Amino acid sequence: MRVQVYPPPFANLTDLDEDGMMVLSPGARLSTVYRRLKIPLVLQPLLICHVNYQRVKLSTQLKDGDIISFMLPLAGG
Amino acid sequence: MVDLSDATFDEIKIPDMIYEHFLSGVGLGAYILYKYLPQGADPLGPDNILGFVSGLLTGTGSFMTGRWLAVCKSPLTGGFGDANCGGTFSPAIKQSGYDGIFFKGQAQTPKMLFIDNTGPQLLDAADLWGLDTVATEAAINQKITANKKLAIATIGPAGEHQSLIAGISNDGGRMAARSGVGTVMGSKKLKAVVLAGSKMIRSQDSEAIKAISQDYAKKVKASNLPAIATGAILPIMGKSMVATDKAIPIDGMLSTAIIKKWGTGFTNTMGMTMGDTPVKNWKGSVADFPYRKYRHLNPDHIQKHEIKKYHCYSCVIGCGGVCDISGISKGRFLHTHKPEYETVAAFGSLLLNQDRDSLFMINELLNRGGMDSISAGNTIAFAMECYEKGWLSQEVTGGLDLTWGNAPAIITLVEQMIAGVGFGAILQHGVKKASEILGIESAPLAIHAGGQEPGMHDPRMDPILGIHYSCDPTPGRHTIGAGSYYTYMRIWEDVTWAPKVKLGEDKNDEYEATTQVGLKSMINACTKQILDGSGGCFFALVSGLNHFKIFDYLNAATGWQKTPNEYMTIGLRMQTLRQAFNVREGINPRDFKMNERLSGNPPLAAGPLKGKHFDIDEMMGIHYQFMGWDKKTGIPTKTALEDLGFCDLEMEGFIHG
Repeated sequence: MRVQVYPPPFANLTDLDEDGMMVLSPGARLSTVYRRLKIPLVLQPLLICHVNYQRVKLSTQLKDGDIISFMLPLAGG
Repeated sequence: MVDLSDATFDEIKIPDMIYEHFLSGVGLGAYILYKYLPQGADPLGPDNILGFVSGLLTGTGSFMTGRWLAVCKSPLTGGFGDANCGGTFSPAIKQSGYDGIFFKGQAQTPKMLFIDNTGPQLLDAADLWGLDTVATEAAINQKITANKKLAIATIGPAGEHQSLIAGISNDGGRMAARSGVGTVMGSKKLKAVVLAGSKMIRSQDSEAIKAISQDYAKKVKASNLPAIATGAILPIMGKSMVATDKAIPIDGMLSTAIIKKWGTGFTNTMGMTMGDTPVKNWKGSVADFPYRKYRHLNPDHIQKHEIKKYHCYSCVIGCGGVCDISGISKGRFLHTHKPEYETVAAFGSLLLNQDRDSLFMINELLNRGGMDSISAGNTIAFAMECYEKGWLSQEVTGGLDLTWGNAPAIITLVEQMIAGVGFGAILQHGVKKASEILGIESAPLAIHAGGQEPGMHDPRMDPILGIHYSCDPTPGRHTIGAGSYYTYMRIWEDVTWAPKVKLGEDKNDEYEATTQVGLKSMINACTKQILDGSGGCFFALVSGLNHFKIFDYLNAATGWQKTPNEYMTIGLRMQTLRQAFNVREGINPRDFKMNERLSGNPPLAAGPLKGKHFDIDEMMGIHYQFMGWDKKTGIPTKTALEDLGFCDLEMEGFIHG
């Protein structure tokens, strides 16, 4: 299955294609995405991660087409 | 149209075709100015037109669409002028029965316009002249009784004595600050516009609008920071954002979490480590204003004074706040709006000022005085650099020691600028004018684009921002576009010809005048026009158009069935009309090129932007080309004007003239 990932800047991007899609095995959980992105453990508590715009647990099972977003700040006025 | 010279009113019926060509808001303003303002009008004379326009989507049930704009011929640039603000004034314009309220002429004595459901009246405002913006609102609320809370837009002393960087205030100190719109209002002796109408605002398909709004609100509601997140993480986030040269498309929606928590203040410290925040009149870096100094601007410290959060009309994010500053000001002021990032940066790092309390004071002084904080901060930074070089003595400054970071002197200077006295009388008209007064050798230190001081975001970090500073008909604006904003918008999901930002793209490519850069900047400019024609909020735009469905909103509100591509043509037409206005008024678009310090000439010697530079002349050319304007001159080509349908709009005078 394929999920859309909006990764944080310090993530390892090698498992994402140019559109930010990641291929996962059926039944994969959110924790797998964290592992594949190689997000440092120390930074994990500081991140906001949503699946389809809802906060979920790391153990949440993903499904094809899910949108996984990590929060990133932006410049403001 | 209100004629202040003879106190008459004229209702102008706008043909539907005009809305289809220019939407409303800034597009309506540009149309009226182009059509009714005599060519060559003195910006501070009776022929200038000052408009207050709402947005096409305002009041339709759409979210994040409560912005209004003031439009006029700008006394700062000599071209099109506009300034954008939130609060509650935008829906009040429509509830008065109008999409826009325009003024021409000049009153003999101070006046205010009052509109309720019975129609407009010009009232005497002599007793309000001289009051600051907050006191003016209080006095009007005492004086006028209406069935609903009054919506009031007013100028302060800066606008009254026609400082060229004066803005217009509403909702107790929120500012439509740019372009000198308050200066024009002062020149017309118009102290305030007071609205109390309660007419219905209609839309074609309110159920569709409701569905879009609910979807957006649900996502915003779910976006919250964990309790563990404090302001201390922001500099780390800033560093992480520039740790790689690879582009990483992001989901802008989750950024609303950070705006909900801190408002724009999150950039106070994050911008330092990113290189986004300018330092020491744009010639320094975080090395000149290190952590031990900028930590005082941590938004958590600002939040400690916050006693109330608030939302603008139809906003579901709520970045605004009210702070208690009674202790800081020694009782002089009780409250101030939570200082925006722009003000904190313009009076913080730009001046090497780490005194947080002074920032609260300056914020309230400027809001009450009715002066643009971006312009004022840039102008004082210029004066401090001149002082550092020995070009200004204390004899000239009236005894003020303009050493970098001298907070008491900065406060005094702000008060003088607002009152137009002392050394402040030289600085009150912005940095270009101040440089002209102080002598030609100071020009390289005067940071502006076509007379307008730039926002607090550094083009050396994001060169497309520099294109917009230099190419927009209202130059120096940080809210028109940037490479980063383009990424956040994800407009390639709607507009078929928009280039997609691919994961891992080299961000350094944006330092070259490529086709990709030209397309992105063109799309930024057009999208911003659509936003400003709709009354939309910039923070909704950068939360992503995949969430903030502005094209669907517009179709639902109007009953049109236009595609995003067709809306982009409308945006292009709006922007081209503004550019055509400037050309008609004698502006050479190339003269709007920003100070070369901002393009890294010379490059910075330290900090995250060390060595960064780009060729701004080339970048301007590629932008013009994609806009359909002459690549060398920036003048809209005859072909482009014809393609955009200007021949059908009684504007042949320009096209063939």
